This record gives sequence, structure tokens and C-alpha cells, in this order.
Amino acid sequence: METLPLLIGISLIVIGCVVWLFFRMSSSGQFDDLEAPARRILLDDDRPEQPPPPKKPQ
Amino acid sequence: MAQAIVQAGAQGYYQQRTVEGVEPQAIERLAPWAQLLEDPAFQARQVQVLPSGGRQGLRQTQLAIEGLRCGACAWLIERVLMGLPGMVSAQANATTARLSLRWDPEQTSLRAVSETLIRYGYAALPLGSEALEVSRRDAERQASRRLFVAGLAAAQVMMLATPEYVGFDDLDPETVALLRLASLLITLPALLYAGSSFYQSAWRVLSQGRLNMDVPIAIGLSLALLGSIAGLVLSFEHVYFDSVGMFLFLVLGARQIQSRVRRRTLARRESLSRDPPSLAHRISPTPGTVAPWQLCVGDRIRVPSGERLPADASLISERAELDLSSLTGEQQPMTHAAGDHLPEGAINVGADLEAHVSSDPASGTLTRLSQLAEEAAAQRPTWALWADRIAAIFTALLLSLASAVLAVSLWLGLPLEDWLPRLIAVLVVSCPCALSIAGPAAYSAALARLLERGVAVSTPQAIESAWSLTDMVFDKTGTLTDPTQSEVKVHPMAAIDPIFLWHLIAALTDLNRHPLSQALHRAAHKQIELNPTNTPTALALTSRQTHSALGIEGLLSDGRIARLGSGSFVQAPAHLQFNLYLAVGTQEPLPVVAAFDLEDSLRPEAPKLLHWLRAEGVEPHLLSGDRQSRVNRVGAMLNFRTPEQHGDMSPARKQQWTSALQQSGRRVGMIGDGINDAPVLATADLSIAMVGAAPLAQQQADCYLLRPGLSGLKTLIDTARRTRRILKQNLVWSVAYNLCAIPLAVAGFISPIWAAAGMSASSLVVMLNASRLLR
Repeated sequence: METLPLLIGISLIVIGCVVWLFFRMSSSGQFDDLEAPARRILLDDDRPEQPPPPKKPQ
Repeated sequence: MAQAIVQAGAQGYYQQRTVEGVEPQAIERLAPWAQLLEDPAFQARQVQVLPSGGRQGLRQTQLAIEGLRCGACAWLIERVLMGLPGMVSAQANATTARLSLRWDPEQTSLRAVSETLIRYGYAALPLGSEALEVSRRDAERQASRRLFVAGLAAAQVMMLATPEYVGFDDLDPETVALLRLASLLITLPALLYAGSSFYQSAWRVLSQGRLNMDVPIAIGLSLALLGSIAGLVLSFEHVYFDSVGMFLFLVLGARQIQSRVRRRTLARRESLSRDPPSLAHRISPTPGTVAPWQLCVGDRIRVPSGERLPADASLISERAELDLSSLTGEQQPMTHAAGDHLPEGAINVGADLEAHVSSDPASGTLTRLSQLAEEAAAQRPTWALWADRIAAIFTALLLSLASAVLAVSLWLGLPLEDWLPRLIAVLVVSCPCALSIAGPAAYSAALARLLERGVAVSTPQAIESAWSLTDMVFDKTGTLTDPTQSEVKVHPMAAIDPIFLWHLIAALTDLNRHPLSQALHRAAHKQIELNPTNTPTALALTSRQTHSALGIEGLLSDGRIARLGSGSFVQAPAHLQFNLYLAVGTQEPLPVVAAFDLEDSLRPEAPKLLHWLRAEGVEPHLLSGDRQSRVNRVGAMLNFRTPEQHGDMSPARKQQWTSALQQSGRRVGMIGDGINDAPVLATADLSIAMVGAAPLAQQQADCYLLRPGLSGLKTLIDTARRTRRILKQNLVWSVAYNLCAIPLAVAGFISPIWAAAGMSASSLVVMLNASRLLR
């Protein structure tokens, strides 16, 4: 049980890091849009049966 | 447009998009917007030049995108913009409909961006006030941070509490104290950060001498925390840090969902209003076409005939004729003299006018109206207010009960360790969660469900009105019948050049929103396209006036007067039975030159819907400005009984009729397209605007059907009734739960840990029940 205080101390530090990380991600705007990125990953995948890379619109 | 998308290799868009695309005509309508981004004032204020790093002088800006509604749109926009040479980055945000751009001005321009977007049916607009944007964004970010902190704390503390729950026998007191101390170290900052909104709100109402739902939440959270601290110090059998985090997380989560849904509803309504916001033509200080929100006080503007005033202004021109119907409902045009105040949103029906902008567009009349609409959406419905009152009484009772428990325990001289857990159990087990979580959750779920099925609801109050409806008033033209399908038959009454006739009709009906006039406008355009010739020279209308429920009068440049409208308006011979007449001449009475017959065509879903309404106990009524004989014909097709159908109704009579019905104790809903209906829509308990309704009707109506047709009405009433059922079930559940739990807690049969578990389970039950609405 001597390890317990140490482990709890570590977990508190980890929680602090996680919160700090989340706040930083939030400030960079990562959570401003929860919809488009989810679709982007589906859409950007070029399927083989489709015509070669998109033509640039004039 | 579809072709353009396929050419861009973006077929995936069609497989992934979740909302309907933009109509092809939209591209034509959006075209003038391309010039907005060239306004020098916008370029100076909102386009930043990046500090020259590796590449020289990149530009960066943020734009609002009209028409951006889903993730697939965002992807499409990014993809086509990145195809432009010189585009460094393009990021579209589907939630806020914003676009961040970074580009090389040597190779591309905002003009190219704008034109590209318009080809795909979107429009790029300058943002409004930057400060407003930033504050809104920050509020959203803070809400998600609070939720995250609460969730993380709840999970961590639950983990630390597990050894005590499981009840390891070999837990020595030091270990228990250590685990509890760690829980406190996590819970306290989390509560102070994530729970601060509850404390602020509770403090605000308490200092005003009132009680709201946030008061019991704040007290419950504080007592659970203080009790747990006492438990930590005095080594009680149990502490309740885990309940604090969990409760906080559940309440914040419910609120977050609700505000998200509300924002989406509002954004969707805005983006679906049929016209893009009007342009402003600035003469000085710098001439140019700009977005209304970029005008400043003192700017001199020109408002061409037929356009909307982009801001409150004072008139410079000698005389102006304005249609204020979208602001006041008053249908007669008003005449103004130089120096008069002209309200934003009024339509210039006279000649072109010039004016000075007199107030900041952000505080203009129409802007204030939309703000009112937004505020209304944030209001709490009667049920929630009622729940708040109940919760206030409940809180008061609960606090007295807790004090009684405390007093009796002290009087009996019970030891602290006996009565403190009991006190906490009473407060925790009975937290009015079912009232504070379930109400908002059910309403948000209902709003989300309705939006998904094509009904935008502006206030949760509307859901309440919808479930208590006893009568539904229908407008005929445009509501039960579909005027876009009506067939126009012409009966010439005098020798007249058909080409001239159609051009005159097209000019008279241009921009008019009455469905009959729109049907005529379409018919006229079809004829003009079939017979392409030069426009007759005599056809410039010098002025035009719309007379509510009667018709349109125009002055031709050769001095002749043209009237298009009902029989009484053009003074047609009484024996004629046509829908509309056209009279052209110089002397009263003007000779009638043509008559038009428009065949009503019923919406296909109307008979089924009315049958359903009757079966559900909602009595339908048909009020129309049209002639009684035609109303009777449509009524007969839909099984209306004679006292339920009324023709020849002016807007004022419709309103009287509706309020008379209301005074007899009925709850009356009104559905219409807002043309001549505005006063009735305002009177009714529940107003519903059809798709494509007049802009003000869309703004003022409680509900707005996003899809053509009437099927949304059934969805609305159905969902509202299900919401009521679920609210009732939740209420019954929470009352029953409290009636069982509180006596047990007072008697000491429930330990605080089970009280917290019971409270969480009870909240979960009502949340899950509310979420059934989403299915």
C-alpha cells in the first residue's frame, strides 16, 4: 500500500495534463465544429472505381 | 450546378450530404453578392496581411457562408476552393457556417473565391461585428470545457470511490482517508470551475428574492461537498464526492445538448429564409455595394425601387413611398417626406430614393426583431416555468424537512455520525433532477426530432401550444391548395396584344409574394419565353402599389393605369365569375381587357391530414379571402362542414373570427403562408408558416415548415403530444420516486451512497425516457 500515495499523486498530475491539453485543443478551435471533420475523412477517400483526381474548376 | 459538382470530381458530396441542395435559381440570385468582398472598407478592416515569413504578403480573412449547412457542404467548399491557384488554406466550419481563408493575392482574389462559391450555390459574405463573433465562440468553448472537466472529474472520482463501494475488507483507515483526500482534490476545483454557472445563477435569483432550479442544484452540490468534507475529516462510513461529479456532469450535459439544438434550429431558419439578406448601395463616403451590416452612421445610401432599406435611415429625397407590411402588418404604402425616419426592412415601392444611415445597422429595427426572435427562443416554456415553481416549493419543503430532521436529532441528542448521513441522504436522494434535467431534455429532443423532420420551431413554448390545440385554421390558397400547380386560363375581354399583355402581367406581378400573383408571373414568363420579342416600349411602369387582398395597381409611362386584381378592385361587371381581372386605360372606370381563371389544385396530402386531425380531436377550419363558391368547392373535396368554411374573409375578419373562437375557450392554431395572414398568425395560439412564406411571417411564426407541403403539421402535433406524454411520465416517475425515497431516507434506511446512486439512476431514467423522442 506504500505505492498508493505515489500512484494517486501521479494520477492527479495526469489529470492536470489532460485538462491542460483539452483547454489548449479547445483554444485552437478543434472542437468548434464537431460535424465537418467527421465527414471529411469519409469524403476525401478517393475510391478506385471513380475517375482520376478531380479536375480543378475553372 | 450538379454538373459543376460532378466535374469537380465531387460525386462523394451527393453520397454524403444530409440536407437538400440549393435550388438552381439560387445561383442567379446570388450573383450580385460576388461584389461584396471587393468593398475597400471590408478589405481594410477584415482582411489581414500575414507577416512576411517564407512567403510574401499572404492574406487571411474569415467569411460567413450562406448555404453552408452540413459537413458535406463544408467539405465541398474546401475542396473547390483549394482547387484555385494560390489558395494556401481553406477551412469551412459546418456548425458556425464560417470559412477561414489564407491566400496569395498575386495569384487569386476574393472575387474568384466568391464566384467559385456562387457556382456551387453558396455565397461568401463579410462577417458582422468581430467582437460578437468572438464572444459567441468563447461562450461555446467555455461550455464544452466545463462539460469536459465535469465528466473527467466524475470518472476519476468514481474510480477512487470504487474500493469503498466494493468494500475490500483489508482497507485500513489511512488508505480510505487518502482516497477521500484525492477525491476532494479533484472534486473541489472541478466544482468551482464547472459548477460556477449554477452558483452565479442561483446567487442572481436569490438576491432578487426568488428561487429557481439552479438554487436546489447549487445547494445540493454544496451540501454533498460539505458533507463529504465532514465525512473525510470525521471518518464517516461514506462520502459522496462521486455523486457531486456525476450530478454536475449530467446537468451540464443536458444543458449543452439543449443549447446546441437551439443554435442549430436558429441557424437553419436563417439560412432557409428564401431571400439572401439585401444588399446596400452606398454613395458616400466610398461608393460601392456592401452588406447592410457594414454601413456606418452618416453613410449616404441609395435604395432602388422595389428594394428593402438596409438600415434605419433619414430620407434625403423629397418624397418616398414605403411598404411597411413586413414590419407593422400595415398593407397600405406610407408616404414620407425629406427628413423623415425610415425604418430598416421597409420596402421602397416608389421611385429610387436616397437617405442617410441614421443608426448603426446592428441596432436597426429588423435586427432588433431578429434579436427578439432569438430571445424568444431562449425563453423557457410555461411547463418549465411551472416546473421551476414546483421545484421552488419542493426546495423550500425539502429544506424545512432537512431542518426538522436536524432539529429532532439534536433534541433527541443523537450523535453526529448518526444524523449527518441521514440529513445528507435526504438532500441528495431527493434532488429534483427529474424536474431540472428531464424537462429541458425532453424539449430539446423534441426540437431536434422536429428539425430533422423539416419543422423549425422557434420557441419550446410552441410545442406546448401544439399539444393543446383544439382547432386548426387553414388558409386556402397556398396552404390547402398548391398555387404553383394552378393552371392559368386567359379570357381576353378586349382587343389587346398578347405579348403586351404578358409583359404587363410580368411587370405588375414582379416581386409580389401572393401565390396567385406568383402563378401569373410564372405563366407570363412562360409565354414570354415562348414568344421572344423585344419588350414593348410602353411598358416601363413608373410606379406600382399593392392593395392588400385586392390587387396591384401600376402606372404606365404613357399615362395609362393598369389594375390587376379581384372583381371589386377592377370594377368588373358583376355577372363575370373569374379569379382575377386586368383593366388598363386612362379614364375611370378602366376597361377590363382580360380575365384569368386559376384552377385550385389540392395538395395531395391534404385529405389524409385533415382526416387524421379530426380523428385526433383537432377541428379544422377553412378561412379564405377567396369567393365563397370556390371555398365551398375546395371544402367539399376535403369534407369540411358548412360552419367550418368561410369565404370572402378580409385579414381583419379572419382575425376577429379567430379571437372569437379563442374567447369561447378554444386553443387555435393557424397555418398559412403569411400573405394577408400576418394579423391572424399573430393572434393564433400557435402560428405555423409554410415554406416560402413572407419573410416576416417566417420570423414571427412559432413554427416554420422547411419542406413544401403540409406533412410537417402532422409531425408537429404528433411530436408535441409525445413530448407531453413523456413529460408526464417523467413527472409521475419523479414524484413517485421522491415519495418512496424521502421517507426511507428520513427513517435512516438509505445510506448516502445509495441515495446518490438512487438520484443518478432516477436522472438516468428520465433522460433515457426523454431520448425516446429522438427515435
